[in-house]
Amino acid sequence: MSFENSLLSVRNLSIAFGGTQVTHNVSFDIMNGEIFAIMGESGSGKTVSAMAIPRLLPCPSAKIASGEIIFEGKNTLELKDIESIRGSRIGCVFQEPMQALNPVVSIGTQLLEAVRFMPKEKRETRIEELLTKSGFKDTKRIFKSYPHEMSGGMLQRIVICMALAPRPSLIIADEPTTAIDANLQIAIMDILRNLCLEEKVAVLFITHNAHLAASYANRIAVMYKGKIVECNTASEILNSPKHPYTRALLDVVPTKGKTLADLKPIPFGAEFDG
Amino acid sequence: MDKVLVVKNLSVTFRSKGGIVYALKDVSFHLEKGEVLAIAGESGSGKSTIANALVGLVPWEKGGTYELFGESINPYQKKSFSIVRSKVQMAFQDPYSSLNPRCTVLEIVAAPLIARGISKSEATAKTKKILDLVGLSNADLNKFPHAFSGGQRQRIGLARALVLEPKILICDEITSALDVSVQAQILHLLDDLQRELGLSLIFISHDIAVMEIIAKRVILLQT
Repeated sequence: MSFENSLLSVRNLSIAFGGTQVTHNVSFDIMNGEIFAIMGESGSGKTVSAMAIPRLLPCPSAKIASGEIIFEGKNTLELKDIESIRGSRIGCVFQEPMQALNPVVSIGTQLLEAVRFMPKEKRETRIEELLTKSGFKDTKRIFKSYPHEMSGGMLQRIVICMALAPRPSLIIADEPTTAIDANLQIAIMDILRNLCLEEKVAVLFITHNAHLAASYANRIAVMYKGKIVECNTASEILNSPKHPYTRALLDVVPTKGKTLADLKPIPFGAEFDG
Repeated sequence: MDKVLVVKNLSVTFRSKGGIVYALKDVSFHLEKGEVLAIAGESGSGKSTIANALVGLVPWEKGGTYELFGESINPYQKKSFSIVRSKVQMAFQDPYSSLNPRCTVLEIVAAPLIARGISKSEATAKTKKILDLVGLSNADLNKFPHAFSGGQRQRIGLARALVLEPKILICDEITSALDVSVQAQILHLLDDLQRELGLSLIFISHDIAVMEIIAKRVILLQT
């Protein structure tokens, strides 16, 4: 695969908190319109790597030790005005929709804020279009509602609409369904994927869930202890994992026909030879 | 097989704008000694409401009967649940919100003992023993919940539930918020605990593969 025309190119990114380096030379590329997953357990460095892209890491505790992030031809780490791309070119969907929304502002007002840079007459039609496409019927009522009146699944759909509203080229979705009831996770992921395909938006999908990564991503990078141990197409990762950690991680996923003895927990901090 | 818990015609209602909504309607089931019984169903089907009703956290509608270890329990009397809770304990889904962030592990795990009038020294001794059983060390006694990972917090939640030496443990989605590897650790721990303590388990989950691994019988709820 050639990455000459990639939308996002992360090169040798190393991030440190205090004196501790938490990611080591992380490199990956995302092509236009592609769904790219970073899969790993908590603490593997997947969220930190993703949040460095729109510069959402806590400052000054997190330091970029080395590396560069080229997004649409610009190094985001050196941009003076990161606000010019954050939100408008790179949208974010976080794990907890309730915390991503302001509890005392109506949904409509919050959605309109996302399109504040659009011409006034186009704003409401854009929001209505997205709400309808994400499965809301009574958009007038949704506009007047407040976050506490809605379920977690509805709120996450609102957040997805909000992220897509300014027509970004990349969405970072950090565990977007982890806080959502399991049986609704597929429905939310379907909406995210279909909307992004339709709008030709690339997705950086952060997840610990191998099933979801395999079902929705074109390519998957597996992260362990701050390093990408393996990066390949979703079907290669799932059907013929090369790295021993990837194999161990897939083995511990409960699937039909496995017994408790088949699930071998990965010892904390275990070493795997690539 | 011994039936340790028998529930007949359990109904629970909630009041909403539109009137009375049945969260559970005439649910009947039993739990056998030493078994793992799974409760499955979509979100909103009433899985957690069953768990809450069993320990008296939601009121029962008229017409239900509740039998525990062969003894009839009156579910319409608040104080009967204090007997229930000495035998039936619960562990919860969210390892972040189910532990008081201002209390140490010792305070959290010993609280049920202190509430039952057990002396502080005895409560501390029991807490140490139970922490050991769930795979935490005595060095953790005076730490606060924020110092632990999600999996470790679930161990603290299990320790709190087990410190009263219950005979029945209800696990309400206790692995849903965990990484798969940590989930496997907790499932192995439950299996060990069940054999060591002779527990009967009610395991609420939405994950069919997990239920297949841990449970023999499944109750499926429909909305």
